[in-house]
Amino acid sequence: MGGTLSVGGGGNVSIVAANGGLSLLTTSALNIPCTLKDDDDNTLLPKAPDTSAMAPAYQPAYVVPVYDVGDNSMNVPFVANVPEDPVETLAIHRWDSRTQNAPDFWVAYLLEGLQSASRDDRDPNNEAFSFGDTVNIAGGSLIYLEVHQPREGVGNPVAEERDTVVHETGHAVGRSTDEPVTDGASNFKANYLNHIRSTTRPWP
Amino acid sequence: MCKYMIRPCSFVSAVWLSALSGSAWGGSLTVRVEPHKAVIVLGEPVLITTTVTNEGSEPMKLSHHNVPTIDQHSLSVVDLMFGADEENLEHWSDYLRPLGKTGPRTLAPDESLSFDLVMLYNRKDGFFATTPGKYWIQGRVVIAPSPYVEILTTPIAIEVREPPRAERAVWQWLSANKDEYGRLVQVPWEAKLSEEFVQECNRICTETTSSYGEYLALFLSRWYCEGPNKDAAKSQRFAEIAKVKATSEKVRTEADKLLSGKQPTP
Repeated sequence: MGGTLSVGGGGNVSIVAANGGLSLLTTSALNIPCTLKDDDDNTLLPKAPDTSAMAPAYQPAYVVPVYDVGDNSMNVPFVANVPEDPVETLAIHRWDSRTQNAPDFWVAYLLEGLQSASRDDRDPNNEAFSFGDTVNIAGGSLIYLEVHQPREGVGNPVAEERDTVVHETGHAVGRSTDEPVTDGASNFKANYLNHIRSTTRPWP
Repeated sequence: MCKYMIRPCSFVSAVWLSALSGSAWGGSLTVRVEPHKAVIVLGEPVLITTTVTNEGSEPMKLSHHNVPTIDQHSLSVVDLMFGADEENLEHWSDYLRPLGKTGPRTLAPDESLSFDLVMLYNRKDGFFATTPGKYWIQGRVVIAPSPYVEILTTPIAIEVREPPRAERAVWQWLSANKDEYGRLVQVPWEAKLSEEFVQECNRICTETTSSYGEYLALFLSRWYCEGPNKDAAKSQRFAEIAKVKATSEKVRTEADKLLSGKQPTP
């Protein structure tokens, strides 16, 4: 047939057939430029977790959080989706003060990450979503920034992140897997206050 | 099977097949928890089918729980309580997956969700039952964290017996390798297993009449389908073995799922 067709600025493709009655052109290939973009914002990191609700949350358990171990490294590898495998998750942590955790000096670890494993990262938006993770027994908590955003349907992302920080550290400090941890507003449930009051130290 | 209406309360004292007081949401929820067997032997996993149905007229928000689901892509809204003392059941966790705070799942009116859970082992204490006896499993659904509303199903008894004499060698071997066995059954998609362990599982499945064989075959099939050493042919072969050896409809159904074209995940 000869001739070429270009759609939307895409490259020329050869016309191989034409049907005037149907106003139909058949081409040798398809070349329509498009851009696919997810709604993740990879520029949000690095950021320290919002710990402003920690002190009032831990006060009824007679614990005063202090951020003085000097382990505030921002030099952490970027991982788009944190794997579910605890061993792989631990490999992402940069918990230099782990060995200082002891019955007379409690240490917990928080790291802000982008999002959880792909099964619950709210991509697409009808998926479940995880606000944070704590590694069982080994300790260390991740707070996921991407889902604490207004565009993800979270009513009050700032308050939600504060609650997530209390929730995840609650698992680690209380050495418990039980749920729920908080009332959703950064206050520990009574059983978690008991866990924290009676534990000898956080995980591990 | 248990059916309840919701009521706002810290710990609902569940009543068998009864409708409790109506909720502030004007809705009702049915929760079913069904173990695949009422009598098992030590080292036999319990496969639990849970179903939640919103029978009310309003959508309901339910919390997710990171319990051991058979499907790695599923987050359950039904949590499990477990213990030997019916009056003091404790939250069950396998300690094999991260704990996570997740967003709620909205259940539309008339919508029903089903989750397949498996209970065998936890990394902290070992097998859920190490001695014969009666144990209790209870389902829990959390409606809202504040004011706290939860539904507890009536505890269901599971009788755990000593394995028959002919099975004791297998049971002892599984006990000695409980971490690998637990990972194979509960997190096959990420279980890094030794070659010796896989070979012995293969031998038990193919060369013995052990009653553990149906589970080893089923979960080896899943492991070859989803785990680090993917092999579609072996996955299908072990699913066929599991189906032949199955002593329950649940194992047969799970084997059928694997046989009906479930391919290894990339």
